[in-house]
Amino acid sequence: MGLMDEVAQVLREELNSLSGFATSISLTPPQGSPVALKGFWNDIGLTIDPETGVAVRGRRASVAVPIKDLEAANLPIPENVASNRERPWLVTWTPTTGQAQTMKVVDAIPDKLGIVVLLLESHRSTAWSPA
Amino acid sequence: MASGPQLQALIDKRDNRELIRDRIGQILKLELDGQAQRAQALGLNPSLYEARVFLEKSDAWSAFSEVLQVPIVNVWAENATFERHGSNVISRQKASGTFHIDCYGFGVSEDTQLGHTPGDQMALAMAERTARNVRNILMSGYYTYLGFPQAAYITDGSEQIVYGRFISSLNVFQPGMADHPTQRVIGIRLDLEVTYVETSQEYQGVPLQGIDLAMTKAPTGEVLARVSTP
Repeated sequence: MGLMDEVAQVLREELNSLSGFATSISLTPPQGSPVALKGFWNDIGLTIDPETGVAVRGRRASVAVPIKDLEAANLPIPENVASNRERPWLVTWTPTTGQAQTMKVVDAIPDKLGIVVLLLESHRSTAWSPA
Repeated sequence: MASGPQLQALIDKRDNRELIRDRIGQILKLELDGQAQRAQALGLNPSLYEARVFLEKSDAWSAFSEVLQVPIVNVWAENATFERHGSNVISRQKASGTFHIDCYGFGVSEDTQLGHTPGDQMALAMAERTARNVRNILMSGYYTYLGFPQAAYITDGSEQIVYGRFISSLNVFQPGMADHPTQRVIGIRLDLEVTYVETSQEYQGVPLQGIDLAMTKAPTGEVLARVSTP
């Protein structure tokens, strides 16, 4: 096993280490049942305006999971679903604030070390109606 | 230059630019609520006409929440150009002001019976609906002068404020390609150009000497004048 293979293996182990920074993540494909995975999550309330370098309000959320874990669950790499006639890829996890949240996958960024970062947006599982 | 301040009265009134901006906000809130009530009375969905109206808010979209999903309208005065013709150097300036009316739609992806509605599609639909309502309200004949009286109906000697209004452009804010916010927000800006006047304190002349002048005509037709001074 070469060094790059070792790095990829360590990364996968870290993303599956619940005693470390990993957390349990549920990935629901458009047609199918939720699949239990583990990975890193990220949900921040600020971003940096690239033109001015000033911190501005803008929530960004993502999760990172090992690609081999997706393959083991017979799942392709998730992608954005734009059609009104299809269900989206959904990701559910519980951040440190303690309340579970479900978000929709809007983009997937895989890398050659075997990790895919899923960019997320807010999602409502039931249709909203005005009060 | 004469010593001491010359203005005889306190500047305690707001400029007409400010009044016009506030009036635009009032009109939009009043009419949007009215439209919602009409819709409800007709058995239609009143939420298609609801909106929260803000004035001069620097980041209006921060008022969005996933719970309170109502469009936002932000009215702000962008600039004013003063025109020499139609103005005088004593007390009256004719101006053309541009007011931005930003309509924000907010979308959260949600499940439907057939699949789901993407968040950006919901945001665009909300923004377009709000911009449509705003344009129809402000360009209605009822608001040609934005609710300010015309000169023919002013009895207290004050000036007519607004002489006309016109929506000159509509632009859609497209989000950046590299931007992946969790909440989809799309904005549509309508530019409203308003022709109005600003007034300022006139110079109050001081009588130097009173003169009484009585004009009469003699039987011969000669014009006679009698001048007397106190």
